[in-house]
Amino acid sequence: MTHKIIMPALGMNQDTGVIVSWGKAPGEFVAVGDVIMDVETDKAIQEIEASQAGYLSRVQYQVGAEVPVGEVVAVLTDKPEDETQSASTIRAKGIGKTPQQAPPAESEARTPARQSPPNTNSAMEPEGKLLASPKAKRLAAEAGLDLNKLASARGMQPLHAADIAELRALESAPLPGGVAVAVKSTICARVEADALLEFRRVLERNSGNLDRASILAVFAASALRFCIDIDEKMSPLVVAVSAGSGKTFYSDPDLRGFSNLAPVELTEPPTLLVRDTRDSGIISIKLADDAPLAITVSDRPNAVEIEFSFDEPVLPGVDAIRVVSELVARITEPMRLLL
Amino acid sequence: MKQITWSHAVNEAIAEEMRRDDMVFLLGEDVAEAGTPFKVLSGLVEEFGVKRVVDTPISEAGFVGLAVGAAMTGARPIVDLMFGDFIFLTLDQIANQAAKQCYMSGGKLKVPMVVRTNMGATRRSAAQHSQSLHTLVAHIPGLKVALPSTPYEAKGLLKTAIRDDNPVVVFEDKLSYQMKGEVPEEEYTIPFGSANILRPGNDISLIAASSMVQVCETAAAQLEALGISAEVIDIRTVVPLDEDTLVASVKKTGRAIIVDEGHQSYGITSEIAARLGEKAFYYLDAPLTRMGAMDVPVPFSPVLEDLTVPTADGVTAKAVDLVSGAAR
Repeated sequence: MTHKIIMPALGMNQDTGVIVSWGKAPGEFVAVGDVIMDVETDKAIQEIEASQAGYLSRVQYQVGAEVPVGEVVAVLTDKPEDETQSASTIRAKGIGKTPQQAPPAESEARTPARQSPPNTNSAMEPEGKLLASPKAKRLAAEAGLDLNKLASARGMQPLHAADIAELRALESAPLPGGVAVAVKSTICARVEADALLEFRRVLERNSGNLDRASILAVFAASALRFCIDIDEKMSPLVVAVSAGSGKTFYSDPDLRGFSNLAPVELTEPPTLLVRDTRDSGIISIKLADDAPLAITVSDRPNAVEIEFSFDEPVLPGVDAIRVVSELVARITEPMRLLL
Repeated sequence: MKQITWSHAVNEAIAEEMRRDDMVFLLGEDVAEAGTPFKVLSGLVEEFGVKRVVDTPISEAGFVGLAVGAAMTGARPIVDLMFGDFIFLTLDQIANQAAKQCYMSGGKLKVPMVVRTNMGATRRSAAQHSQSLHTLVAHIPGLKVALPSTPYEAKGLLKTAIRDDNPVVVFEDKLSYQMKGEVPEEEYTIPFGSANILRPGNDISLIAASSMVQVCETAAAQLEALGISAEVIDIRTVVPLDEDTLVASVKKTGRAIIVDEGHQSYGITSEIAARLGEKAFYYLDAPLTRMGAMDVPVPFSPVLEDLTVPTADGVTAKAVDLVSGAAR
């Protein structure tokens, strides 16, 4: 049994009421007589008490919202509902506590899951299903847009056709307008790191201070050039190396030799992005505004993991596989590069 | 164009068809001298005589059976069933006989019979004289069902019904008999199975029949004031149903409320919603919504009776919910 909580009519001429505060957080139990919310009219602020008991769920309005009289502002349910949507709204205003008494183990277990992009659970219904109208889903599919992204960004469901424009803006912000959104493909590889460590030690003895990421930039550029034609349009091959918060740009790093490898001043988007996640604890990153070709390198015990994400129109899958194989070969046997 | 009442329009339709075709005749309770409790048929007995305007005993199953037999043997009877609620008494004749003859005789027998009856609540006629039972006959293959919404529609659809070689049941809203509307001087008919888009719109389709068409038109005007563009469609005939027009409308608007005065459960609103769900699913931006009469016997208390039927305010409120995305 659910009970609707409506914006009450506190005066004869009252059309709306402003929610001044919520007395309970979503998911919290409300007993009969408990104050659910404070409502302000043009005359006074009044505490609204619950006439039914239940768990506060489906909170529709934030603090400060002006709500028409009779409108449902929330419901009371028999069981606490997984209420990420309203919880986030409430928390955004700094009111209320954790929406429900979920065991801590569960909420911790969820954190990494949220970081892996394809299965964003944050804005889902309890059963993890994205709520969107059939029309919204069709339009999103036709435009190659991911409704999950909007659900996460907005924290509000269900999504409707009118929301597609917002999603389009969200997704296409870094892309030139009207261009079809490229589909990123991914290839992952794992390589033993021994040879790379040894190679770096040798280089450092001979050439001074060279960090691992820039060595990888050279490897990556070399592997890419080995597999595809770097035509005039792509030349020079600009590689950005991202470690921590900064980005360093190199122009044709694989053609310069390690002793002459110096960063260049550039703000253009690079052809190839090499991201080193070492020491950050991050397993995988895919960002909408990534370069068309992006390699993420992360440490594993005695190994290096490589994730190559690429736009199919820029690089066909067959070539991408060759690029990764070449990169793996270079990390396994760095001496190949010198030969 | 002349303005006439619904009663007058129906009277004209019957008189014109009786003049055109000698095989058309009228029968029912109080159809001759009394001209029905609603005075719809006044004057017909004077023109056509008691052989073609036949008063029957209070015996619905009997005179409907008589009409089925007359139709099978070449006449074109128009049966006047005083209240739609009495259709329960006639269902064996209508559903088991009239609806089946053409099929069971391999097309050798036709039943060109019209049953004219009524529907609609809020006349303070209590539970046994206020029902809207068109769903019952719409469920039976072999029967056509027309639900006119204005005097113009009442005349045009009734003339088509009289000329149809199949049994047709026409339901008129009993509160509409005094409604005035424009009806052309010249001859016209309205084909079955062609819905009428009364008001084009982009945000939501309001699909209705009979008096609910007016409810939806009022709601559409209210919605316009709120900046919502509603398309109002009069389905005109439940069987055959102009599915294409409805599907095209919902593909355009992405939302629909189907409004009908029959009980909501298992009613024509459900049937239409299901068809739209099947044929326009990927265009839907809101749940398909039914608004029928409450699933209760029609109360005699005026206050309660008014609560049981869909109203313009109710349709408007529901439409606002659907368009704003608040409904879920």
